[in-house]
Amino acid sequence: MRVLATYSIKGGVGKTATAVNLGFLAAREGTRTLVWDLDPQGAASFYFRVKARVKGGGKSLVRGDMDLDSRIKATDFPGLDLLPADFSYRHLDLELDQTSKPVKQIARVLKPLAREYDLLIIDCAPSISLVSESVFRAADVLLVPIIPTPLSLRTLLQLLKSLQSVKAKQLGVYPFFCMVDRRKALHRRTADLASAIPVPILRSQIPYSSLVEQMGAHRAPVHAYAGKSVAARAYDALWREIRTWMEEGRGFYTGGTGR
Amino acid sequence: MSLFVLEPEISADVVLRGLGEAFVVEPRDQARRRFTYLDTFDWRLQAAGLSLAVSPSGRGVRLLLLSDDGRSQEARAPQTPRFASDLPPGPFRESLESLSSIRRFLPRAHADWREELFALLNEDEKTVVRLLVRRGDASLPGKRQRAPVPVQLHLESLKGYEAEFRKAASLVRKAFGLRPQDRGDLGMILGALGRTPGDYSSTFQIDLDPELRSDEAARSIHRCLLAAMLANQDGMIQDLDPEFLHDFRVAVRRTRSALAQVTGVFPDPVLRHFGEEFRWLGERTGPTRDMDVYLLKIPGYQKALPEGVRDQLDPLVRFLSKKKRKEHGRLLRSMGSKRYARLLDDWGAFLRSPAGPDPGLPNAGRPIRLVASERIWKVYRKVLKRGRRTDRKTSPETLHQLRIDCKKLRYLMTFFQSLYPPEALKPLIKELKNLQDTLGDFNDLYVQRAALLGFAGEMLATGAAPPATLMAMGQLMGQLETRQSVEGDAFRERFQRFAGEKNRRRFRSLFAGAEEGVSAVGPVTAPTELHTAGGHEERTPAGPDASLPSGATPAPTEPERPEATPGAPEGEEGP
Repeated sequence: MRVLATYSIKGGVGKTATAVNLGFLAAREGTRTLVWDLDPQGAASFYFRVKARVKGGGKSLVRGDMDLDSRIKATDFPGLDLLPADFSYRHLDLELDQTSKPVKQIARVLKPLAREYDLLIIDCAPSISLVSESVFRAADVLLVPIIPTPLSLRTLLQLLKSLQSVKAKQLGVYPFFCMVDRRKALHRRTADLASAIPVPILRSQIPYSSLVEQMGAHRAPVHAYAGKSVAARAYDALWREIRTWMEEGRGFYTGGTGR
Repeated sequence: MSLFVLEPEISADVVLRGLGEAFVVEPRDQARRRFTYLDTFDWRLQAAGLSLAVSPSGRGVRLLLLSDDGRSQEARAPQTPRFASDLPPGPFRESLESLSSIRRFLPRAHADWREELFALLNEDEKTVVRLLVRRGDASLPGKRQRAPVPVQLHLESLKGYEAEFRKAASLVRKAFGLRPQDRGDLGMILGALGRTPGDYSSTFQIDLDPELRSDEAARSIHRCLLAAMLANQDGMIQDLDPEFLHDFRVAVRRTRSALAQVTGVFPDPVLRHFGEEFRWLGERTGPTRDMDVYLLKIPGYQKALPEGVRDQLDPLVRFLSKKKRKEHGRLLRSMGSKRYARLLDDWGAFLRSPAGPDPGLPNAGRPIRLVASERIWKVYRKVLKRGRRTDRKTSPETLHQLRIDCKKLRYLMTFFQSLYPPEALKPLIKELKNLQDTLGDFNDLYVQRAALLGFAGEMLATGAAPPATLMAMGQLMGQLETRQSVEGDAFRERFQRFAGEKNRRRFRSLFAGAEEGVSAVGPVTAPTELHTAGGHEERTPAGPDASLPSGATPAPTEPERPEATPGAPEGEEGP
């Protein structure tokens, strides 16, 4: 099972939309896919029309006495399941802190799922915390959406810096530009911005699109209601590129570039 | 997933309206699909309550595995799998692999479906149950004729929404009195086509009337065995999977055993002629089977070697595959021969001919229950006698002979199992099987070593064996030798158990007494009859069968099936 995590220190950068749309695309190809909504706000769960409630909450999740499989909900899309969020996940940090090996906890609870799914996409809450550190341990690749602004870039640099202290297995960091608005001068200069980033960036960009914003109204991945739109095709291209990078071990990996 | 079949007077619309009281029912999709249903020749999936359907999808195929209890699994593959091992790794493949094993998937039926998909939604407009309405017709592979299949309703349970599924299923059940189908998808389709699944099984099964004249009973047994040969003939010619040839050979061997062991029922010329002809057939099919057996052993060999060395066996695989193709070609020529065609014709004609009022043979007119018990009892005591003479120093040849005696006994018990209470017979068959397995393993290890040495020689002569391959084969031979001494010890233990007082009592109470003069007189440990060498009925038609085939590559012991089928051990019972 490959584990992707969509992650950003900063909120509102299109992280959840990415997790949901890429999950949809992977499942459509026949990959048995699970999206894990680890963000207490439960946006991914909302997009899939699944109630953001998990019996036992964060406490039993972390203690490891939860049968994760029984909490999984099928989405409306074949081959795509969801592990919903729970509001109690906002205390997940505290719960993790009380375990003996907090940073290994997520990887541990995921183990039984490895047989059932080929791909897991974790939608993380925006913050740097024990939770995100534990996700870094469990994930193979972090997908980091960045809005083409200096502030967003700065948070990416912060992230890269903080990853230096993660002694995890090799973790890929795949940044990509998201919510790119051609009407804004700053956004048109993504190439300049990219040159300031010390790691390779995915070439595909997700444009700013009201169709993506409408995911909340449709409560569905963008492909379900606007499959031919520019936004949908941008996600197609992004997913293809990510797959290639993963297969070929391209991009930046902690502990050295490539693998 | 739960499958309902609509009665002709209930339309799908009515059911949909009924479900509409608890759910929002939304039409989602319409499609035409052609499904091909797969199963093994011996219906292993059907027996396990599974239906495997393949339909074209994109550049590959979509596979759907439905279990009769309502669960479903889906997978994709680049093409229709021939074997479970062709599937991409994962739970889907694992569900099938343990069942079908080395048997090939064959198309069993085609169905052309018009599918309408509906979503049952909850208050969040989330799909909580899927409903598939299917109409269509079906056909058998290679047949033009089509038959309509009753309209099907499939309710599909979605993970995490089991309660909603139960509600929908009970609505359908209660409101319309529909019952979930337990025949499964394929079972239903075959039903519509007037075909019964499960028409072939490698297990020998015949119900004999205990009072039936023995010559009639023997004919029935032989007819069964002939039918098994004919059933496997095509698959064996096409080499679809190794089991066709294997089952064919088992039927030939059982035929020979029945000819020789069910004594005094057929005239001597018949025994001699068909005994010789079936021996010939066994011989002609042996070399291909031997290659199959070694090819099937390769994964085990690879596992037994250190990881870095495993690839070194590739030349051996190529060598065996090539040899097998050659041998299979020879086999095909034999199967195409006049001799083979005549054998089947004559044998079939003989088995269909009436037995006649008084054939003047000692056992022909006697009830089969007597003859069966006499024969089993006699062969049983022969096994005990020979087994008692074995010790640590007993040669592999002698153990091989004992193994053949065991096999004769096993075949007899299998032929006549319907004459005895199953609860009494089954434990004895099991004990015997255990003993046979151990003997088989022992013999097999011995034979494998000799075979590997033979292969190495042949490969070397043709330059097909790099030194590293020969060394890997040598390593295997060493391991086989170590295991052989362990198996030898296991045999002695098993035999003690088999020959123990409890089993002797069981055998005696079931089989002794039919024969005059033996009836429970004296302990079994003291054989009451002199074992005269060369007693005609004690021999297979081929004559003495004590030693391993000389000269040729020794025949391997074939793996026993998990079920209670008499195994399919080595090639020929005679040299």
